[in-house]
Amino acid sequence: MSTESATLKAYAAHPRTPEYAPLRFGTLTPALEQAPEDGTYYLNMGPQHPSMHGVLRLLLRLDGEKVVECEPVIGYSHRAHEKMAERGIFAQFLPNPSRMDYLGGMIYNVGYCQAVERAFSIEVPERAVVLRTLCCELNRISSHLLWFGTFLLDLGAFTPFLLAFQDREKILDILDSASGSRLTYCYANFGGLALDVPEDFAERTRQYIKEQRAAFHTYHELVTGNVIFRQRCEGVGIITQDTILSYGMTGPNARASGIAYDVRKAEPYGFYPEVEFDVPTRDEGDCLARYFVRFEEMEQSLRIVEQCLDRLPEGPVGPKKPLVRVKPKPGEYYHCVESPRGQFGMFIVADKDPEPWRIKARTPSFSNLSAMAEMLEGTMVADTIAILGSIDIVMPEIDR
Amino acid sequence: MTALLDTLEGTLGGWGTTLLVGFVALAGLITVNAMFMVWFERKVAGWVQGRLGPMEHGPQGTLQTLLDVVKLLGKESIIPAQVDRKVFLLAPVVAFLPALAMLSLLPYDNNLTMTDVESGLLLVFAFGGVSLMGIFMGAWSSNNKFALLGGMRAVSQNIAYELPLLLSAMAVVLCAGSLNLGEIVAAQTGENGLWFIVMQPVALGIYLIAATAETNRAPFDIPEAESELVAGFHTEYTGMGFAVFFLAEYTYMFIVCGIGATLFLGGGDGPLLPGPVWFILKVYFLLFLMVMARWTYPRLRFDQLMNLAWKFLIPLSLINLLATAAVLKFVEVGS
Amino acid sequence: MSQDSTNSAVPVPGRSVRPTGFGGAVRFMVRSMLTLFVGLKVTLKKLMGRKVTEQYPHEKPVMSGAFRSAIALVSFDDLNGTHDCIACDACELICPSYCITVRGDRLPDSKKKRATEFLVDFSTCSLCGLCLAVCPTETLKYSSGYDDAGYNRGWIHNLLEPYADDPEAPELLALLTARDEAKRAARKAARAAKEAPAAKPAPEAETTPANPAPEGSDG
Repeated sequence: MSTESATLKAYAAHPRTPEYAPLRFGTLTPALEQAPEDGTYYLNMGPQHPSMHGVLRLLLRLDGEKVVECEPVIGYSHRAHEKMAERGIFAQFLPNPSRMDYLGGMIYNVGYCQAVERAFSIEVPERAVVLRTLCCELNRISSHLLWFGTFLLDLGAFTPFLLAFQDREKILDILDSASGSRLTYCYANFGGLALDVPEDFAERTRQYIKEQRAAFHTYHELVTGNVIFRQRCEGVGIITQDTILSYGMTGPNARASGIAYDVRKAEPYGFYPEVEFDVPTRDEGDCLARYFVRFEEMEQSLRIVEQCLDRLPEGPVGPKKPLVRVKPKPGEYYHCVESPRGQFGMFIVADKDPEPWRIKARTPSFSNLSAMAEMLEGTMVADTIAILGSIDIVMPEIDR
Repeated sequence: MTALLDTLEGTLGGWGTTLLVGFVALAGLITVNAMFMVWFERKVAGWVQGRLGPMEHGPQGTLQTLLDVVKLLGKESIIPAQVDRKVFLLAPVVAFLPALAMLSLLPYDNNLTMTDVESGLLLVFAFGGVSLMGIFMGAWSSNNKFALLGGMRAVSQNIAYELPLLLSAMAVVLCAGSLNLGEIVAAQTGENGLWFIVMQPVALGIYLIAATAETNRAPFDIPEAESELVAGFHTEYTGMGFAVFFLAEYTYMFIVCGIGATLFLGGGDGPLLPGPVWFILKVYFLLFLMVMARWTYPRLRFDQLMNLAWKFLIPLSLINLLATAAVLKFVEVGS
Repeated sequence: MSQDSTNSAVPVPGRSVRPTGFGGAVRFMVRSMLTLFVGLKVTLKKLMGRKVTEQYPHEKPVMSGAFRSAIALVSFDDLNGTHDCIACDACELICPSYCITVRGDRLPDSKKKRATEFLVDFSTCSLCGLCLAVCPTETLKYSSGYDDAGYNRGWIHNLLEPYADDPEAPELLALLTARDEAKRAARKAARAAKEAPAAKPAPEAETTPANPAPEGSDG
């Protein structure tokens, strides 16, 4: 595995002032006024559509069933999260990050806390660091499991969806026993965690890991080998490395095209430098490659969880009284973590006030969705859904 | 009962009595089948997915469908402003009515057929084509692009899959030497009669695949693929219109499985139990397979569906037909 | 690159090979059909297998100890089972979704404040836990109820409802004073124990200021 060097080379080889691919937001909408004269027609998919993953609207120009042009229209779940951050002190933004990406809530929550801790030099006890890493990886598995379910649902298979949800339920139970929430966590706070894990946490997690490995076997039997699934995914929605670099795609989508960029390896944070794991990559860049990369990532996450459990130190998980009012140091700070969908970054601008002057979230799905328009040209309507499912977007995270 | 029948025969004549009794019986069959199938499908789906399925109303939720029907009846039928009203309203009826004719042709037992005609098999398939009209009428008149796409898909899919369906049935017809459904059953039930599943396993496979596609069932449900086309051809239908399309789907499933049981599983043939019971059991076995397929496989893409029909199923069924004909000729020459 | 991931317990199947030639096509077909039967085997096994549904209104799930529901007021034994909200407004001020409303009044003949109204609009609560973190008397906790829902948006939790039969004001004042004294005594004892580490057999030394000594409730 030549993870880091390959990444750095790929990004170094890319011109620093590249011809950035134009964002295709707002290109088709004005054309809606009149029907095209070449026999094509517009199809408005979403925002109320069963497989638009929330409230994405795809404006498609179709020739029969072939997509000629596509424009993703976003903004239907804009909630002004970044503005909300400016309205209160740093701690009052704590519940927000996990609402941006509700599937990777733990990772976003931890990511924000780590950003603030790094910026203002707040100490975190070792046990909290390990537990955060552990919970983040569990969260990553649950997110990938949900992706697996909805991807198959987009392809028309209903059973894998519910099987994946049953396994995801076990993770949610474990995270619930630790943090008290099931979806949008507010577990980490500045300097540690809100509370310690229960006594049977390690035992339950180990039991879950065993069951999950068996469940992977079932998934492979039911889905991965299935000829219909293969036909739907192989060679569909190929993303080239150039596309990935010019749109700034990260995460499993980039890794499925052979770019071994993983924030956990490239800019290690938390407990990741201490644990052993691989960054799975594929070269093909199609839906099947993305499927495989995510499955292998889940297995790597299980490995990380196991190592964290083995090396979980004793001690406090945070300061005695939770730290609410942090003392900001004026400056600009950036910290990024690897979310299930790619690089999630928090850019914090602070002045002397207890409120952040500006917080900017760099969310991976926005970049990933930007490449959609390019990927969809020339595919069929059914492929549109498969590709959209395979790149795994979360709409509130794009709109924020 | 006999007295009632006698009175009826006195007033309506023999033909009229058959019509009336048959109509009432078939209407009952359609209703009961649809209600049972919806419940059964939901139960199987639940069990396959580790769930329980409907549980609230009646033991194991058996009354769930009945209440669903009541709910659907109570729903407002919304007719969108820009639809072609006449065609829009007629479409579900056109889609559903052929089902009655097709059901009346099925041989439920040796001599239990409402209309016993010489070319019964062909007639069933012909009526099947009419129901497609209804689907396309609904799709066209809805004035909705999703519905239109669904309708176009439905038409090309049904045309493509009618061929292997017929060709695989023809192999059986060659074996039986008749197009009459009753006689096809008789050919399997004689003294040394053998169910055609033994002689024609390939034809059975092709028939099941093509029948699933003909009834627009998953994994071939692309005309109503909910993840792509919202609800396909019945996107704009609500309340009763939707219910009738729904009813038609389940009735056609019963019909194609009935034909399948007739052609390959010996119709009402079986020990101990009376003929109709065996027939129903076989039909529901085939229906169970269809339901399981729906909850196991992902959906095919449109072009893959066409490839499967034109490049695989039709050549295979032609080869099967040729081989059957050749073997029959050899046997004939040999004897 | 890494077609078979190292160290993974379950091997991920590789890509299928495109068939070449007639024989290859036939083999591909046969193999494809087999995969369909493998899938059917899985679903048939699941059909017979264990069901996981919880029949919710009939059987109620048990919530984990950490479970977060709407906040509630902690009842203290040394205060005769009542809460210790001093209406300091810290929670109301920190709440990012402005869902807490606290009003308080001074106890008669005293400087001590006491909540007279504590309302939470749970529909806007995001369960961030900041109110718990800032509460100076630690009288806030998460409740564990999960099936409470209102019939309209204006429906709000009244946190003082379980404390309707609050002790009479003079009695409460006595309790509070007694507790504060006990706390002070405990702190003093702790300091004394610290200063004389050789002699610390006294049980009072172990009581921390956060957990007031039990005898305080008697006084």
